[in-house]
Amino acid sequence: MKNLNYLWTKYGTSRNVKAVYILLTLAALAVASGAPGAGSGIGGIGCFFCP
Amino acid sequence: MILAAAVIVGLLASLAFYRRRVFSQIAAIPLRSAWLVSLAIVLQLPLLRAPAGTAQDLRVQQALFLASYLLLLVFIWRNRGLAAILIVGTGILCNLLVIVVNGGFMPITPETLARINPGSSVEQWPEQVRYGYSKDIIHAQERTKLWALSDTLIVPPPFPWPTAFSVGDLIIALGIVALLLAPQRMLKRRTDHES
Repeated sequence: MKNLNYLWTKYGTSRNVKAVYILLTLAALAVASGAPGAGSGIGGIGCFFCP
Repeated sequence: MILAAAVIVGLLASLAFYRRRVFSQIAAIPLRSAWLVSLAIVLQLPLLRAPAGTAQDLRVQQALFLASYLLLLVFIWRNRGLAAILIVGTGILCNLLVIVVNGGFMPITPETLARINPGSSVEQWPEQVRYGYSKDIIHAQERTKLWALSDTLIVPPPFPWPTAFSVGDLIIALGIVALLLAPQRMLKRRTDHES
């Protein structure tokens, strides 16, 4: 826990958090605008949202 | 898969190019209304969690899916000042066009499915059936409108995760890589009131 706090203090700057937020947005954009699951068979790794 | 790979490739390329400044560069991308993308995914979830079946059973999921594309187009419009986002928007329009003219799902041929599912045969993929847990519906090539824009491209085995994707997906991937890689000054379109 102490290490986590240290890492957060060191790297959890607002700039880095914003960069991660943008990366997550782009990943979401990739999933939403493309075709997840088309391929690799049912239950395969391409099946991101299989229950 | 190809689009998820685009984000990773873009990040790695950006990391190689900018090294320690990579997070500054990414954080400086002026994306607006990013919540629209998250909301689009939420609207697509019911369709993406539906197993294989006929399209008639999924009218509500299909309507939500099409509505999600409207949100994505609003997101593109709100960020039209970024050239790379316009590339992404072109890809989204290509996908949306082929989806709309083919009844609301992305068409994929039995031949493509047989190629990306090693061990399966063409006969195993009946037409007019939705490919489970995806946005795709199985259509023969001759019955697919704008076939060239459908899921025709594949990353075949021995790639560990054989995948089908469309020209639109490829354009979206290029846009995402460009957004992560190119210097922001090059990406920002200069409008009259900015200059």
